[in-house]
Amino acid sequence: MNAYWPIVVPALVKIVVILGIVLTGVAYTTLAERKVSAWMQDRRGPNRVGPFGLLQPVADGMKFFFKEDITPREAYRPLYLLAPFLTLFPALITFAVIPFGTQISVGGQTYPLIIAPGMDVGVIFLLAVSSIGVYGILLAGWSSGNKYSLMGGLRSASQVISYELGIALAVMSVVLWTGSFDFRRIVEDQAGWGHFWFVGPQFLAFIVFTVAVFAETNRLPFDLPEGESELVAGYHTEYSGLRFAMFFMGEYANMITASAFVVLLFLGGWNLPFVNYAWFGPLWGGLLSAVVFFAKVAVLLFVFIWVRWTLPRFRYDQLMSLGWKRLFPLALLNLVLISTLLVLRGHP
Amino acid sequence: MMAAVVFFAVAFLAFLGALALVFHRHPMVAGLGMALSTLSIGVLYVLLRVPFLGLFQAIIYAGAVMVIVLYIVMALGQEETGPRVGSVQTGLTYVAAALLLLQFYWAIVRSGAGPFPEGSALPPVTAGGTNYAFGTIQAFGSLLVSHYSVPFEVASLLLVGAMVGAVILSRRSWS
Repeated sequence: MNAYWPIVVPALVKIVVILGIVLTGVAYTTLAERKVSAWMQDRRGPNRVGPFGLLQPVADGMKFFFKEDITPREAYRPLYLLAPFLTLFPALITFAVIPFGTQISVGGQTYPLIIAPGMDVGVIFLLAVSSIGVYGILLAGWSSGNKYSLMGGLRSASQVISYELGIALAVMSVVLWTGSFDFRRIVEDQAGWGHFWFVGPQFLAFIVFTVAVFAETNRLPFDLPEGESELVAGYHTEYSGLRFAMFFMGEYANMITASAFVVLLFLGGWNLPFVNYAWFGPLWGGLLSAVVFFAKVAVLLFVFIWVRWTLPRFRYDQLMSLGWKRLFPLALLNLVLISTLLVLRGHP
Repeated sequence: MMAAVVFFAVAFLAFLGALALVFHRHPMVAGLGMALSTLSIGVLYVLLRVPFLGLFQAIIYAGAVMVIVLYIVMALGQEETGPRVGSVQTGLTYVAAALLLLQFYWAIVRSGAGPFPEGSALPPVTAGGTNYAFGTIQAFGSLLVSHYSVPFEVASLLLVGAMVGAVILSRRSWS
């Protein structure tokens, strides 16, 4: 058993740290959502709980905890109870393969800043887990025994499947460019002289990916699964208390995953122009790279919120036509262009 | 040891899912059972040292095919099916399934394949004059576009045919 400890202990430490960061991030993204929306609408936003309302997420959490957990009579109970878990767990598992910095060296040992460092197909893992995430929404919608929930679940499933194509094709063009499914390789290819963040050379893929990711996370302007003017609250209409909180946390965790995905593929990961983390020594360089990475993720989260409070919701047919008639052909075109470019450049 | 524990746990889940698919009266639960089964088989691929194949299994079968099946079940609003009728047909199905299982078992025994010794290196894959480490996505991709390119393309042709067929069948009129 001794051979396992040097692997298991650092992994456990990283899991605890990352879960802490992500769950805190989720809590404060909900606060940021309310604060930014208030700011954009010239209101003050929550400001009663703690200084500047900073303890609001704690108060919200307590409230969810003490609310009654209602199961409707018409619900199909086993699946109704299972669905929130199927939403939240995939959203959290994705962080196993997301590298969040270079590496840190402590006491002669080097620890890469990723929970599963041996994973060389992290990109596929992320796609796989996010494609499983739709089950939670689908089952919640169906098992609630309610027409609005059912409609929300159906819409969500078709939306996710439609936009997953765009995501996969955009990812493929980055993978072709770097020749690797490994997030670390992809980030390293965006560092140093003569290399650009892929938002430059892969601009079309960036556009397709970002738009598709908004749809995949059910955020405005693509939040038709829970469009309140038609569907009350969509698939989670019937949920209350902690189970509703799990959907809520799942949605925000997915936003963080999506932002991290965009940062890793297109915005240089933890790289900054003209900065080499080796300058800062083995410990501080690694920590600094993690800080830069999470700062970039935070900026993207702000963009998510910004877009939500700026754009109105699409109609359902507009959503489908954008996905299939615009983004999908654009992604295909991009893939052909990138492949042609690589062949001309004599890429192996 | 570790591999054996994971294998039996996952194989049990795959079996459970398959049983749910066949015997559960609720179409939604049956569909979920199949999703569980395909996911578990994906984990078996990882145990066989082809991790990305396991992930593709998750994306394609659990993430796409089964989601569409469940989608259709939801859209049709199919409630619980009635009690199972014991007809001659059902009996024949059981016999046929048992025979298939027997044949499968026989094929495995006859192939003489045993378990990999744990920790041993597997032979590399050669494609286009280059050696690739076993189970890597490079090895898989190279074989797919060199040695198996014709079957691969034929399969895609079949899928296109099926898709065109579905569009034609679902068309109400030719006006």
